[in-house]
Amino acid sequence: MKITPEELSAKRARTAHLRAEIRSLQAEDVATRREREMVVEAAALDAEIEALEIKVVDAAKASGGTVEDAKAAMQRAADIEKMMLPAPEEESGGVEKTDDDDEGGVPTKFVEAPDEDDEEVPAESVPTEAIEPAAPAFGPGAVRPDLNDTEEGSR
Amino acid sequence: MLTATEEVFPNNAASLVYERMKTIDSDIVVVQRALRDSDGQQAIGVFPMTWTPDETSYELPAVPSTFAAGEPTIQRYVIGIQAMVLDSDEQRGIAIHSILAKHVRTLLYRDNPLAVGLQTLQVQMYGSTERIQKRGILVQRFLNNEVGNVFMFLSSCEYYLETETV
Repeated sequence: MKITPEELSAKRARTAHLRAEIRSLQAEDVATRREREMVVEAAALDAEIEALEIKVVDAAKASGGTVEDAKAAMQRAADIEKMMLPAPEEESGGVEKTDDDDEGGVPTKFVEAPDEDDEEVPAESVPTEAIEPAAPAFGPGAVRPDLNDTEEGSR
Repeated sequence: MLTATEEVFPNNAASLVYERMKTIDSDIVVVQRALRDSDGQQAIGVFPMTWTPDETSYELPAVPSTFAAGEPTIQRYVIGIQAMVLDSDEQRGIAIHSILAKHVRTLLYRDNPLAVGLQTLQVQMYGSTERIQKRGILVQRFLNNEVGNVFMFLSSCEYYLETETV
């Protein structure tokens, strides 16, 4: 099976959206059939993504397994990871703080998650530009906490 | 004469860990050996530490194979990862070093490119092929010292790689 980064990207985006929706439902404390379906779908997508990542490794193994091959595979994995990171949390909906919160009240204003991905989206129709990549955990462009920025101040 | 071009465990794996450690922060000095106190204010050293055979994986004498009797097919390598912070302020040094030590552990566990790279490695030697099957952290020890009004904080992480030879 031919795998393109765009296909993986679409699957990751769908998984991220499902998880955001599940979190929203959990915030409402309502266990629905839809929530259970989404949990199953997200788990299936996770398994699929893992299987596709294994294929990337297998392709590298076939090339000889030297340090240079492994470094090339690491670079490909880093590039794929950068491309596939889900959209930032704030776009996923959730509970918004209201004026009452400052007085110790329970936050009541619920923000709906964007519904443009509510229906199943074929992988081919998801443009990669539409998926806002978050900063990678490691590597170039990673947002790292400043090691020198402690409570004591910077050097 | 032996040359440095032949790749074997654990040096090949240590090279990949070294490459990924460089991505933690561009200002951190990363070397592929044990650290010296002259390596910089923030430094990481990656180097092989131990090899241990798995006693449950010894080959039987009667089985004809590429292995000798009593030779293990499962082996465990430990790679040491030292992280060091030098600071003139003790509290600040402790704080910075704890962050750096956490970065090292998190990278070893979560970094996908490292996982892909390590799974890619294989060594073919004497008619058999060796590949990594398991990996994880055994321990991370913390040390500190003071030399000439400079506080030194060092953590030494033991990262194991279990390989299988077939």
